[in-house]
Amino acid sequence: MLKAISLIQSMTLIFLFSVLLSACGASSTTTVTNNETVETSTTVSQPVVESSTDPDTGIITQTSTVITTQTTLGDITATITVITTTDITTTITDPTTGETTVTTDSDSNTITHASELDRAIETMVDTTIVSNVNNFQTQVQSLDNQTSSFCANTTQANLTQTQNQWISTHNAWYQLAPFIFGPLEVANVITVPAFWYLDSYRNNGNDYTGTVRTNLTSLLESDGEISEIDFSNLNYNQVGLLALEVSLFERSTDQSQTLEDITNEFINASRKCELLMAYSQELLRQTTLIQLGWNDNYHDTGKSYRELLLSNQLEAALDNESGDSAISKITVAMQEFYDYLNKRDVTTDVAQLSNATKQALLASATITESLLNTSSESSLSIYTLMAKNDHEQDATTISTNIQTFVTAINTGTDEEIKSAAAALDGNFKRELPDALNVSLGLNFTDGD
Amino acid sequence: MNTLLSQQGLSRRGFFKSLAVLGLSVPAAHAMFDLKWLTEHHENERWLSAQGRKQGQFSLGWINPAQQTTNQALANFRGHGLCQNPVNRHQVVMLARRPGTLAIVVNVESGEIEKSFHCAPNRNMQGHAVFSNDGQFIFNAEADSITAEGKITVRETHNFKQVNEFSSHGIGPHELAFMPDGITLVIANGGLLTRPNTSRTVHNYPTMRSTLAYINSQNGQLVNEHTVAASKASIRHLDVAADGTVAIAMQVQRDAMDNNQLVSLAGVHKPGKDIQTLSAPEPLMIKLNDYMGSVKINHQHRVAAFTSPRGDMAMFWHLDTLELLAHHEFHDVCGLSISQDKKHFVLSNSAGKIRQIDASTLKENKHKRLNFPGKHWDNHLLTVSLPS
Repeated sequence: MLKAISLIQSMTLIFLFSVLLSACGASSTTTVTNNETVETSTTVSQPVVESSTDPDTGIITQTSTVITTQTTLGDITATITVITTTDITTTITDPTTGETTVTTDSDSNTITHASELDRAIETMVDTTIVSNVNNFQTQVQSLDNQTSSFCANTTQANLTQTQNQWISTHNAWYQLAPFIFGPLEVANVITVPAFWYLDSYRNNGNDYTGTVRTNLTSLLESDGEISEIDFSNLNYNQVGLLALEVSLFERSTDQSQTLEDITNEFINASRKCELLMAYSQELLRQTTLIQLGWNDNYHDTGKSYRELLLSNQLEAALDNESGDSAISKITVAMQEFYDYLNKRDVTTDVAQLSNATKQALLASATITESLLNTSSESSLSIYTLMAKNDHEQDATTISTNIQTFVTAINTGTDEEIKSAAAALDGNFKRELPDALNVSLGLNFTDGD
Repeated sequence: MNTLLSQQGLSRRGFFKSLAVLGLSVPAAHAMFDLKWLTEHHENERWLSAQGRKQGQFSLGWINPAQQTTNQALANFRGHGLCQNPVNRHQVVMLARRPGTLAIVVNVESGEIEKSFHCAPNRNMQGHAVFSNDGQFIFNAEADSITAEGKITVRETHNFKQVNEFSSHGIGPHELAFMPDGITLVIANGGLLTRPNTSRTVHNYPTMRSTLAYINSQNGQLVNEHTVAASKASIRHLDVAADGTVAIAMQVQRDAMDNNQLVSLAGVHKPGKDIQTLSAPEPLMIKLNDYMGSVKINHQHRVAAFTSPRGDMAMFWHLDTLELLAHHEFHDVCGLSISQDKKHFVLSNSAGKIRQIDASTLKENKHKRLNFPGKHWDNHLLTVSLPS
């Protein structure tokens, strides 16, 4: 019965649409290429004419707007390409001279090659974001395994291996840190966002090393059962990568960083190993939840965040979803990451005990370039799409700025790193959205 | 007079896109034919907003929610605030975004621009104005282009000629409204010193002082003024409840601060008391990114709603308990109004979308979503009832 109703409604919709097409001038073609049927419809609107007279000068301005919309439906990939061109013809007549000037503005920026962009987004999500979600979870899993091995055989060599694994995990985090949205930033932000539990500094630029030390010391001095201490209930600024770094890279009593002192502390106080493993397992729990959200089930929708995002179903599936597009989410997240690097003192506050800040930032630079430069069999890279949209220079500028960022990390000062990050922040605010004809919004930039 | 009307229905492009997804989204087709809600809006209700992203598009746009259509009156400037003449209710004024100098008077029934008016020399507009209760005068927030001192100009509405001017008793007056007595004006003096020749650059971060000023509209005398503790918080938007409670929305000048401390962006001022700031959990506060862009009070439900386009969020506090009641995520939301029947908060964003939040449950009515592709609703939304 429901199917029948749906069919009737669908047929009605098609009928209404047909009427609509005939009203505004339409044509359609069907072609078959590589076994894929492609239907193309073109509509040309009736001109919308608007005129105004300046009350002070008497100058008459008349605009005529014609909208041409071309929609292509492919039945195999179910991709849709909508190309909309707006031609505005403006006629200005000066009553005193009778002079008339005519200008035509074709809003060609709206030609977005939507299916190409959609495919590029899918490639970005799969090859860059989801793969880094999975890689980060794998690295955390390895860190958890390594902590267990170390605690079973507490040697300086094993400590070094565990420390190295922490650095690898931290680097993996900095490959994911530019993509804070979705499962990394839970929809109900009244609860603490997931990423705070991984990287407490990212919250507001507060260095919580002192908080972690105090809490660790307190836990070491306590005689309570570790298993009874619920690490999932600890505050976000007491756990995460920072808690593991403090545990692994210094002796709690005096912050000595020699391998011998740290190892001996683990040998002499088995409780520290229990705490180390508890921190590690809590990080693994958090990271696995994020991975599940991206890959399997987001917010009990029964669908992965990846699927909801790429099929543009987030707004329909969730009650409290902002409704912006995938490309908007990715672009804004990248922009916020580089804004964060510019505004916070990452080089002097983050990964200081492990001395691993710069390699983490290099990991971020690498993933940024990869995001923009990766193509696949079915999709072009973002750089190529930018060039196709006549923004090749912008693509070059961004690539150059990424290289400048890398150079600053390797040889520059802290201020030069910030400055390079600020340039990339600007690129993700302006050049990239402009080149892809992506609107990030109008109101958020105003400050009014 | 001049006709700048153009009309765009939701249906043409909406149907086109719907056909494109046909077969992929049957529920969407169901939703399209569930038209029962169309009757829930009054025929004379309109939602107005400055509209457009670039020159050539800028306009005063309005939505007829019952018909799901939009109209617009093209303007050659980007508008900001709007106000309706309470007596000649077809008459709406849209002010230029600061530091513009122009406003247009639009007949929303006919679509005609009836009049435009400029600032006096060496004055620039600050984006908002308000009509007197008798509709005879319009009070406009302006600034001295040389000294940057805040000004409130008074124009008669039969010809929109300026007849008076007095100080706003502060720098950077922005939104203003009449108190329930119809005489006292409450003005958000943002405290940010800008000049037209340097556009929106702020020149007084170290000394900025933002106030909520109460002024006698008949003589310009300062009745009293209030400030918030956070010195870099700029009070910029406000709304007044029937009992005189004022809700204020602020933006924080983070670049002028030497710390990362979170600052409340919302507040309530009750007569005879200090301003009380509204609190929210830290994750929400951070997400707002130092910017609330609009505020509206639903008098019936004693709820103050705020929007933050940088936080992609609308937030709702109780006016009396000051308790945070709900929040709703919506990309680049800033436009905020209340439906004519007072049952919904209406939200708009720059992607042309409209959402409605039930004022009693503070949950979104998803079936009331509207989408007008190609429209870009600017910072403020105004609900008006046209004469029957």
